Amino acid sequence: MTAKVLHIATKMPAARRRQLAPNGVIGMIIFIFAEMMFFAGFISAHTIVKSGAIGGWPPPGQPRLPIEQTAFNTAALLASGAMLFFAHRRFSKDPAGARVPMAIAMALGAFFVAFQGMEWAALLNEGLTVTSSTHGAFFYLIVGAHAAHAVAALLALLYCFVRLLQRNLVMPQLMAAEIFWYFVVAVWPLLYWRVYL
Amino acid sequence: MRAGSFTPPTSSWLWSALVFAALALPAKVLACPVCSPGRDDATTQAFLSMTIFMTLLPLTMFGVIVYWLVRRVRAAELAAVGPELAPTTEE
Repeated sequence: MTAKVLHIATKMPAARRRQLAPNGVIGMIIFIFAEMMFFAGFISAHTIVKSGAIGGWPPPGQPRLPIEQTAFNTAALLASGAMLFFAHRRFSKDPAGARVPMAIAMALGAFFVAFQGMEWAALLNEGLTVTSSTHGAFFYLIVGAHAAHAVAALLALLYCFVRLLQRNLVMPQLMAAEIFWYFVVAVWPLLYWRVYL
Repeated sequence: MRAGSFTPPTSSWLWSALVFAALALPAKVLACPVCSPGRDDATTQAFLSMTIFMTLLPLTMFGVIVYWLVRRVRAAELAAVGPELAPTTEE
């Protein structure tokens, strides 16, 4: 075994400067790490404030959050992530074949954002505002931050989609945008569990 | 004593004082004013669980990325030497 390892070592190229992962992917992973801590801070603060709330949570007189409708919206977002995964697999074999699943993934993501917007409008009409209570403040802060990330990730996917139509899309670009969208998809169930339920 | 080195105390009274301080001081130096005993259980539990969550999350993330990079390094090394030279498990 030792002799074989030495044999392998002597066969190694002298200067190994092969890139382990594309720069865009590494950069996006670092960005996602920072964003995960950003949302973890929100969740931590929300959990502690919620546990110490006097009179129950949500506070008395504040509207209840639409749990069932948002569960449906959560399913749409998860389906969007699944479609993007499918698009990735198609892209690696036949780039043109990734157009339809990627378009569906983006449409589902846009539906999620639009549905959230309608939900916000309804809650504002019911009296839940940023200043109405800590419940409202946390809700708009956490869900709003997630919506901002969803819009940014959708723009990244749109950029990739345009390049795909122009036949200029390369895998590292798609992977970076994908990681961003997977983060948006993966963090949402946690936010839904902590904020809505 | 050489500069920068640490010589552990050897006398028994000094050891006793250190043990006493270790046992007695933590309750006095509890800095967090909101997670100390006396608060309701739910808040204390929330502080504890969120402290664990916020501590483990970055460690987990870095662990995952290091594991992923190590796997890619190994794959790149095997690809560089070729499959015929890759070490086998039988030897």
